[in-house]
Amino acid sequence: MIKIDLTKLTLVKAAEALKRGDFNSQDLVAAYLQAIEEKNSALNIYLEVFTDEAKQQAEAADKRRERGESLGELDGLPIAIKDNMLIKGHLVSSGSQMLKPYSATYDATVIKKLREAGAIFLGRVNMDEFAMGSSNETSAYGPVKNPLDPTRVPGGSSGGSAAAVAANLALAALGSDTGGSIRQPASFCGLVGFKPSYGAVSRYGLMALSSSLDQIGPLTKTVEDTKLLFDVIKGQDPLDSTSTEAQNAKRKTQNFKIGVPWHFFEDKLEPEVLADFKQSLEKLKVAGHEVKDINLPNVKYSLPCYYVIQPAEASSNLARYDGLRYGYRQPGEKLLDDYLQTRGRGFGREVRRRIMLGTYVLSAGYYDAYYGQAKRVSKLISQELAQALETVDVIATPTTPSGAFKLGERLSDPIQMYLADIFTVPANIAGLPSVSIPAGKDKNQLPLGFQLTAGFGQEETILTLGQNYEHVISLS
Amino acid sequence: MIKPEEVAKLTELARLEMSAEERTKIGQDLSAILDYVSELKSAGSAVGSPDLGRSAPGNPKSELPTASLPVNIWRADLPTPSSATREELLASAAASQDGYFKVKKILG
Repeated sequence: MIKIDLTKLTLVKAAEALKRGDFNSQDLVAAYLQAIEEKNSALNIYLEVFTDEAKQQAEAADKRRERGESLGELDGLPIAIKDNMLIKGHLVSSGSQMLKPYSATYDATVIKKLREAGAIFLGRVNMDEFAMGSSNETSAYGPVKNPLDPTRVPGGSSGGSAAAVAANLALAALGSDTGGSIRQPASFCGLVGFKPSYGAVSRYGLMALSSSLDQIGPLTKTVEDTKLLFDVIKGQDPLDSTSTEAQNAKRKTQNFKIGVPWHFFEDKLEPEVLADFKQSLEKLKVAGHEVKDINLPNVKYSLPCYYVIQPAEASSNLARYDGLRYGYRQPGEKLLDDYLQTRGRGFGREVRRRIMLGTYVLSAGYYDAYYGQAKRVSKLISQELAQALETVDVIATPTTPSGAFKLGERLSDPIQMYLADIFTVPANIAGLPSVSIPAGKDKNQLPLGFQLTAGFGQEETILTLGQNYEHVISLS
Repeated sequence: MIKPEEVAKLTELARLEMSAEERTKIGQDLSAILDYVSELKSAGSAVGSPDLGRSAPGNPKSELPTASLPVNIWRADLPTPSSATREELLASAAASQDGYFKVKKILG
């Protein structure tokens, strides 16, 4: 077997190596399968490795390459998929017992697009149950460990996706982001994590958590890789009527105006996180960009807004899990008992908590005070962000208030856990594209993230500035 | 803040069987979270907030600058090919008969 240094690879570098003939797809897949065998049980990343299928896909990719019929940049490259996206014929669990067993009856649109591009699916990776969580500790299959420090969390809910790439057990991964579930784990694991504009990527085949907030996106080592994956998975899909073609009016390449809402986070950060963030801005100024103070008086309501809207929509979306058509079932005496027992036992604690919360805020007498108010406040926040983004090109904040915390540290107080998402949720509330890029390190030498958010449809803006930032950081 | 009877009613509505112990714990969690989210009442009152006509949902003033935000769209009301066959979809059913999902009786 050819010895490949997986730590040195990115999607782009691997594609170049394949073209040069340094190794082929089968070699690459063999190397990843070996690495997974060695490291997976300690980190609990992969719920299932698609060993045979990955080898077959690699063989097919190599034959295409030999015939000069490569499908494109992604052809023959192995990636990991968060286990809430349907891959036809494969078991899929959403990190829950509730879908044990359930075999996908169709391909998600993103999966179909990746297949057509020749990407290889190494396997399905662990996640917080039904994507509810910020640490990958709510999974029914056990927590994922942060590869950089296995006593700490990788973040969540796309913890498995982030850990897979950070541990060099996949070249890249797909995750989903409802309140920060791509960006926060990317930040905790030292990766690029990108949430596109709402609707930029089809949600067909993604198990819905909160339908007005969910988006699928990539977790990669570089912004270049993120662009590559995003280009393949994006696009309007007739099967997802909330999907749109990304409109991109602005075409800026330099001298960006970066807006910073200091009032929003200055007092909420660990001191070294604030210092690191300031340093990032200094480096961007040196590179020719302008940094401006901006005022966003209502953006602080994003998190309470989120914790009304998301549980409400989740309670509705998760009503389908009743054991009658698929999945886990605990039959009782009557039909109602079937439901009560199946759902009471099939769902984990955090899921039950959020379903209860969602049911409450949607119930008669409380609907307008909670859900109605939260929807009004989201409009307010969207408008406020849109107005700010008319005066600046992007908004910058740290991705998270701290680096990765210890396993078990935040399990007893749900609000402490929820606060991990405080800087990521505004982009979901407003449907805006947002990316987290590796910045410096926290006091425990663990990664921190620098987050950029732009106007609706302005993916190119944040990815262009993001690449410049990457370059500027690498110089120091 | 949230009463035990309300928690019990919620478990019924959400179809979640729950022990008395868990109902107590969840009641405490929900009260804490509801407390936290009730901050939303003060949104929009700070100086510099966009005008939203908050008192009247549906008020035209609460419409957003259309150029910068997504707009609701509808697909044509036409049938599209199914992603899976009837057999495939029934394969995971708890019970099926004659091409239908079979369930316990709902009434009576």
